[in-house]
Amino acid sequence: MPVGPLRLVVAEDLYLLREGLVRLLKARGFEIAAATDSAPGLLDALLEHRPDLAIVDIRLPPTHTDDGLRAALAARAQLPGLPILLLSQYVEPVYAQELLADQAGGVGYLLKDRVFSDDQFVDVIRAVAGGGTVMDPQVVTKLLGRRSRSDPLTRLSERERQVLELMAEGRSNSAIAGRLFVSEKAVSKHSTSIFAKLELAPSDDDNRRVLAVLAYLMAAPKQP
Amino acid sequence: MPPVLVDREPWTLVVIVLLTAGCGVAAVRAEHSGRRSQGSQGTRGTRAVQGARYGWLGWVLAAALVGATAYAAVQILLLDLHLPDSSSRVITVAGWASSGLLASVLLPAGFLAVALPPLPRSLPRWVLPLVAAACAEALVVAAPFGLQQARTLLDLVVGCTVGLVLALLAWWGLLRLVRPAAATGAATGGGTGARNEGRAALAAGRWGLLLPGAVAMVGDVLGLELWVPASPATGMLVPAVGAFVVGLLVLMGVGAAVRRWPGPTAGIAALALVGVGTYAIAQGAFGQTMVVVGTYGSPRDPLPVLPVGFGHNASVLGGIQGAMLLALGLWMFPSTVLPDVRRLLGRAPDPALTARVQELTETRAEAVSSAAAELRRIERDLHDGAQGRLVAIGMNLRAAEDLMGTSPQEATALITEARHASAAALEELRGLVRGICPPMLADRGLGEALRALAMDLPLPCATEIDLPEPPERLDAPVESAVYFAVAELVTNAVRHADARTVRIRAVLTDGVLRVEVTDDGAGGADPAAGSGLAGVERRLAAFDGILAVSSPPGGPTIVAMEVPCR
Repeated sequence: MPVGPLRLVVAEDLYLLREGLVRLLKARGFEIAAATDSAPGLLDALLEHRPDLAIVDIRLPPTHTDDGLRAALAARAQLPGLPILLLSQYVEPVYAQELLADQAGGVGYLLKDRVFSDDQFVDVIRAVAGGGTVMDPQVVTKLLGRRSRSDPLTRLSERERQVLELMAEGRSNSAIAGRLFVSEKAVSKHSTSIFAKLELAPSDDDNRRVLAVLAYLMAAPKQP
Repeated sequence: MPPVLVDREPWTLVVIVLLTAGCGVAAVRAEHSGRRSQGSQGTRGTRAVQGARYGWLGWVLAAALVGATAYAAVQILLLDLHLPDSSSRVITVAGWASSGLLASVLLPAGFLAVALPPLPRSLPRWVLPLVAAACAEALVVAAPFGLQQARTLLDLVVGCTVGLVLALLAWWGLLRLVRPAAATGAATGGGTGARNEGRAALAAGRWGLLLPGAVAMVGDVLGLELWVPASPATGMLVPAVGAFVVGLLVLMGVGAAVRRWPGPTAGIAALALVGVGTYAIAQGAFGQTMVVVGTYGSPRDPLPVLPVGFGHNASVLGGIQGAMLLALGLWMFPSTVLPDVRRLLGRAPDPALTARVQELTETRAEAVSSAAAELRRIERDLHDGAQGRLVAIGMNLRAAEDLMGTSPQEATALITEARHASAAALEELRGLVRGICPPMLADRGLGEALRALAMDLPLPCATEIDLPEPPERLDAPVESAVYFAVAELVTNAVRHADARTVRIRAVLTDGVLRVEVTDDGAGGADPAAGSGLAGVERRLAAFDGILAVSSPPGGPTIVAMEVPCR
């Protein structure tokens, strides 16, 4: 973690939202290196300022499709490990997949609504800037929703499923424990059991763990 | 050797003319009643009852008619013509008999096929020609009127077999004609366009049915003798077989032409009939006829002697035959040649264009009304959902404003509530926008959107997609229509068919987008019953797209779509 306030680049084409974001982030003690409203502007700003984190709206000018994502990935190709937090009105598992493709961590994908709960938003910014991986609960819900009845996931208990969801969102054991009102030890027991049932190699490292779980969920469902 | 004495039967002339005229009238009536029943479905019941009562009579009558006609034609066209009086010559009649016979069988059989009303749940219709052909052959073989020599047994067997085979082949072709679109269209689920085309082909095919008979008669008239059977007794086996093969090929060619281009073929047939008929009449008027001169004289008797009175009889009969052909051609004129002429002269619109305009008008009306319905749905969703929540948010904030000074805690609670309401409103708007234009479709195009759709399904869904990669895109409206069509189909597969796996295939080849959705579910999907598939079909029709469904009970269900692009 760098010393001093985190330096951010914000890319959002809606003026009101961009200004709101900048105001909120400044109020929370972040430094805004640049705020831009287009994909080319984003790429330039990222390469110039090399911020600690880029907050990027997926849909940006010029084509108003997925320019933001592509510019961010292009910058990440030149600046490996550059942390990126995508904001969007929609969650599309495909975009999450592309973001996670390099398995390097330091990525996040949130619905824009999450900005409302600014404490959580700030936590996410810090986690991603620190190399963590954070997925919106809706991404995880969607990934879980497309599993068939005969999937290994059905062998998980209700509690294990909850733990898996929170793990996939990128939460640490202690955060999961706090959320589910159980002890950290219980969470780690559940996570061992989950990894065994899904035949995944267990990992203590939070980031490696979330990447493994997400990779598992994103792989095509097995034939019944 | 004693002369061949053939009873001259004047009644046969009357019979053939009467029968032909009767068949013609019956065909016209069938045409009219067919038109009427198209208008009112309610008459089907009465027709069925009548059919049941008189059905058997129809069979007997038809068989007798065709057999007698065949015999009469043999008499008239051949023996009577060639042997106007007792001559001392022996004439081999194998070739003549079969060609005239076939012409006579095919012509009225074709008429009858068209004329007889479809019998309800009746025996297959090929029984009729089989009986007819057998009848005619039996008459020739039995030769009750004294055709006792100049034929070996082998000759008869070969001639009869060939005649029978040819008649059945021709009949098979005719059957293929009269039951076109009804069966095939239903099997594939057929689009509106295909159905119209089938109906037009059926109407045109009605007239094309006359063709085999016409060709046989024309061949006879021109002395081509296409249907001379392989007749060992004539000593000309090789040329006879050759002629037979040529005849067979011509018959198949005619059948193919009728099937492929029913309209133009019927038109050409009508013109040919008129031309040949007129020519034959003119020839007859000058005391000559083409009928005999070219081929008179058999291989056994290469030096024909024209008997006394031959020329007169021949010209009279040739004139009659010409008149029949002319009448036939003129009868076909109004429904074949005349519309084309009117169109060429600019007096009548092109039916293809008219049909196209009709189709476009229908699909446009459907597109407009479905767009309007969609707008109404969006308006209702906005009104009931996001709009209402925004009003509530405004009210909450207004109340919070008032409470801020006096009761900050209550105010905070209200503001929190407003925040939740705004999140819910966003959620609803997201769902709504997804229903209007899914983000993946807008961002990445049809291929990626279909892959994302497959990924979102709660069951394994394989995709095989070969579409242009972005930035090259299909037209947005086509992409949208096809995307929602596929979404509807896979939803059906998951919800109703209880499928375990689904496959989506999308390929763009030669400017046509082909999409196939296959599932291993319960099957039994019917575009006519469920409104879902019909809706998909209507939406695709706006882009000239078509939908075909194969869904036997027990599955698998295959739905194929084709939309022309660019």
